[in-house]
Amino acid sequence: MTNHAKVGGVLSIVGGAFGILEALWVLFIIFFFQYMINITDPNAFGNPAEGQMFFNFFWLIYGGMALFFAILGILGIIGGVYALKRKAWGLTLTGAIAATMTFFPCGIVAVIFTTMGRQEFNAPVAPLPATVPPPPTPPAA
Amino acid sequence: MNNRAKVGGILSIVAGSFGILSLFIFIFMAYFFQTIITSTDSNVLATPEEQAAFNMMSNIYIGVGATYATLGIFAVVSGVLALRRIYWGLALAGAISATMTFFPCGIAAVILVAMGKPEFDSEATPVVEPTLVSPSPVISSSPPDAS
Repeated sequence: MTNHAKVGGVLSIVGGAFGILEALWVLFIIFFFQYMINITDPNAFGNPAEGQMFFNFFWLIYGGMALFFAILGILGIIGGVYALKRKAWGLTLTGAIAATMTFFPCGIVAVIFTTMGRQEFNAPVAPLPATVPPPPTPPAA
Repeated sequence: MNNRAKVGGILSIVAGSFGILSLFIFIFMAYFFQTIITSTDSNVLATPEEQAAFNMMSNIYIGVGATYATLGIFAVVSGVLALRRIYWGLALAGAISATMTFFPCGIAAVILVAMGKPEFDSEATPVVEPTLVSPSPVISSSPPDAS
């Protein structure tokens, strides 16, 4: 059996992790921007009420971006885990596509490997060999 | 045989066409901005520095458009290869470039071209030409005539 699903799953997890990192990075940008404005020029946007309104708007846009990247990243990681278990091919492919949006190089390769490894998902799991109990020893004469 | 390679090739061509179209859109945008700026305020692009800055912006726009067009041409060519079911690797690379020009079509093209790999392999097998076989001489089972 080939390992296409396994490789695709790992790449999908890496792409999903990049998505989480991007979400954290966007959140860091918000905090950093607000902090720098507050310590350098608190009245940069006019009176404090207007400044607060601007920051609320800024939070809305960047917070939405962070949420978007986080959802894609989580989806990529979940899809990668399912790919490693070779279950739910559709969910795995969805996760790989989500990983493509967060980190293109890993994601597109994950999509290709997940697609090529479709037969691995359908393949039945080989049953474990049954353990045969040892034959009873004859009683000593 | 499935038609996954065919559908993937069509999607790749569609996405590539969007990429080629992007070149014209970016060129149009560069001229559009120039027209809008000069028509609203004639003093905006008066100095050579401002003119140089605007030319640089136009060049960047045209460069981005040319990049998209190059990716689009590659995607179209690879889409044709996918329709003919030859050069699977090149067809897949073109589908990936189609993803960069128009994501929805491109990602579907990547999936379908990757799933259609057996179709490429089956087409690549050499065709055995039928050869004419001369008929073997008929051996009669009857004993030779004694007379």
